[in-house]
Amino acid sequence: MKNKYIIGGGIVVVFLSLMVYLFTQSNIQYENDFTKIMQKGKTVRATGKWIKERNYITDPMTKNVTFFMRDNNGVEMKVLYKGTMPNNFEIAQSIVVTGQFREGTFHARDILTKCPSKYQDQKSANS
Amino acid sequence: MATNQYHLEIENLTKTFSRRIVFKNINYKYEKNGIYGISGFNGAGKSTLVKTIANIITPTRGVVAHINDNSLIPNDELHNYIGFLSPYIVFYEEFTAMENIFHFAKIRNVELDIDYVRSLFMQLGIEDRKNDQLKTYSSGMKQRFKLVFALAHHPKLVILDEPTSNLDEKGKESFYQIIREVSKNSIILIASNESTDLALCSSILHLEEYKK
Amino acid sequence: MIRSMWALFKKDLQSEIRTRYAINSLGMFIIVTVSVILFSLGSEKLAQNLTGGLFWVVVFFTAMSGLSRAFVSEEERGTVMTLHLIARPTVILGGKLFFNLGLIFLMNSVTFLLFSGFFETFVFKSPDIFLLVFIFGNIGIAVAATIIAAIIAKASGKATLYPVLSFPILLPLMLIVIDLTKTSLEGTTYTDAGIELSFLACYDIVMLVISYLLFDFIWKD
Repeated sequence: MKNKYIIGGGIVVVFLSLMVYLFTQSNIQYENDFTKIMQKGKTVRATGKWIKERNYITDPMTKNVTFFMRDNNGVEMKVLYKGTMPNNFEIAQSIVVTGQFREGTFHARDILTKCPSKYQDQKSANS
Repeated sequence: MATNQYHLEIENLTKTFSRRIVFKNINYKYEKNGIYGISGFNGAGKSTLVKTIANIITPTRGVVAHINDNSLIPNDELHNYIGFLSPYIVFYEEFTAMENIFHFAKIRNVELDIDYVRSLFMQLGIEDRKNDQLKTYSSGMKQRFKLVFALAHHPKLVILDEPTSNLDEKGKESFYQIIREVSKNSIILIASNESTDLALCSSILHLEEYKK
Repeated sequence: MIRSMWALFKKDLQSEIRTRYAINSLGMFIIVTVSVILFSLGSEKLAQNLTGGLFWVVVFFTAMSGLSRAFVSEEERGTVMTLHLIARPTVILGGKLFFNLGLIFLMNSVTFLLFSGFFETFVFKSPDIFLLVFIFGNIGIAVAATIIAAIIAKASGKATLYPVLSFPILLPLMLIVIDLTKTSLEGTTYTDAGIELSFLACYDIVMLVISYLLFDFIWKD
């Protein structure tokens, strides 16, 4: 009878710690190296800059938006996004797209923009 | 018949509900097959004692040892050694009497002795109603059916809590007859205040003696 | 022991066929919720990322309205002591778990068929992954719902407590399941969903073992 609790408790502890470990793994990681993203094809949050010169194109039929991003090393990547673009997309300093790279395009399911903050501007003006 | 292998030992059995002592330090041995009584005034704790013996309630202190073949029967296997009749037992009313018995045998995982069950129905006079749903039974008939439930799996220990309530004279007679027959092969405990019930018993435990 | 569990399952099944209590209430619940969603949509299309969430909302509340019956019905009828007398606690837990598993798989398949029929956007690009999510999710809900039902039944059948107690216990499961449903609607791979799928499997195992260990204490007064 006692054995039941020892074995059962053991199983619970092992699988609970496995769950905790998996939970820390399941958070999607940030990645700012596009070459790695293109190789692995995992779901990541890619951070980089929008290349203004190549503009973005909205397909009027499918509402798909295509644009290009560049990372710190100058590697460029084509991004496809379904949905409406965030308002402050064009003035963003950098953007974060969550999604997956497959067949030569990064399929984004989410876009976050990092905007130049007022306070940062003041700070840089003061200094 | 073979010698009695099963027996029951009660050691220092105590049950309290918060501060109230129901019974204290009961020591008793039931070693031979036969009929034994438990008596006490209303609220004395007869039902609590028999439930404790049947492992439905855990005692505050002390041990109820069910011994078979010189070894203790583990709690998990106890239910098939015990037959229990109590006013608190309720069956599945949407099933017929026979369906109840069939399901119980399957859940117990024992072979159902169908001839024995049929003879019990016959002796108790509910043979013609055994395929009726239990919700159509009167309380006296339900009481008779409870005895079938308690005995169907040939238990070594039969606990009867107020067995003859709701019964007419004829019903009581057939109950006593069946109980006497069964007592040849098992230990029977009767918790009751009916003088006719207690008249069957070879010894009687008076709960009043275990209050302090 | 499995035989006894199976016998208890058959007893519950026959009782359910006679009374149709759970089937009726669950069926009505599914029909009502799905039609309310349909009415509120009108002629619009439901956005794809919402269908997954809505599906599990319906599943969660169906489970809450039906699965507690397993133990509450025994407690209400007063048959708990009878069960005590004929089987060990593990058998009771197993039998009730079988019944709830059957019930939840039946009900959720119906919900799934209704969703696929009524919402055009409820189409999976990775149906194989969704099938796994469906199976693990249902098992997790059934196990958690069964053990919580046992606790609720002891608290003199306070059915309103049921969703309140279930929500925190099922929250991690629901979060993962909703997320995975969303990604399998959009299309995903085993490498991507692997971590979350194994998380689900672990959740099911942990709940099962904890239920097994705790049930002795819950069942006996």
